[in-house]
Amino acid sequence: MSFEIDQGEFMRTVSQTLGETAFVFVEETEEAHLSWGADEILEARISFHGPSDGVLALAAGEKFATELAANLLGIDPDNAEAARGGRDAVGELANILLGVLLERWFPGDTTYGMDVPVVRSLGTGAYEKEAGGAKIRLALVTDEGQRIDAMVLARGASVPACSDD
Amino acid sequence: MSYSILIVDDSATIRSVIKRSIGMTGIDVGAVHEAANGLEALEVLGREWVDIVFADLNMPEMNGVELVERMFEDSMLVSTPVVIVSSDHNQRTIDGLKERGIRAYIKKPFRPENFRDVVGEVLGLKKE
Repeated sequence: MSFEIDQGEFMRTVSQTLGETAFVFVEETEEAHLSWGADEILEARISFHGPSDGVLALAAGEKFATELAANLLGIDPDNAEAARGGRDAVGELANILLGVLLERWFPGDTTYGMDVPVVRSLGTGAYEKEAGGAKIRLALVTDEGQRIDAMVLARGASVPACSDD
Repeated sequence: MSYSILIVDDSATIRSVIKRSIGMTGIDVGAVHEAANGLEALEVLGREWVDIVFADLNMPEMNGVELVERMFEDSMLVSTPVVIVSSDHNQRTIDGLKERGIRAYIKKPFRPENFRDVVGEVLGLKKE
């Protein structure tokens, strides 16, 4: 089975899931014109298996990851729990997003599965290098100017053995 | 009567969100226990009384399917209600777990009212 991802559907699913889950509203942007607003990027990767295999990645700057955690938890971003939860939030949002995507990509009785998300910190240069092989990549910006990327990589893309925390 | 609950998820953030959601159901929650995987959950279940378990599926060390299997093999735990809370939307997975005896399946992303409906039904609480 060939695995062709519709860019529009991918964008709609990412946008809807981020809105419903973390209350962030995004639109696609020209990635070259948008800074991460942070030195370090938190990137979550999850492998999936089914009629086609691959890897979903979701990435956000460290500061924005704290906001994502705060939104998930319904607390102020200055709260210590939010500060501790940035890495976890990026991983869980990737996990939730992949679940929604797989249900759409592999509907009905299809057997499929997904692994546990692995989150790591990367400098912007290393992140861009790792993202180079993406089958599909969205650079998104929130209504408050924060950047978040979502991409699908082919089977065999590197997924670290465990989170680097 | 207050109910003792166990939340099993490798994400501390999601455990907090689930705890908050259950708190919004209006049920009288007593002790709230947490575990980051199935192995930790079994340790808690071995030493604490738990009225209902909310468990994720995709977790390191021991996943939710193995946790359910281990619980249902244990005569002391087989009657403890298990609700799966997972981002795995695979219908085969859901059907298989329901055949094994889980009481409900909540898909992530969820809303607090999903817990209200499920908790009331699983614990046999009358709707007011």
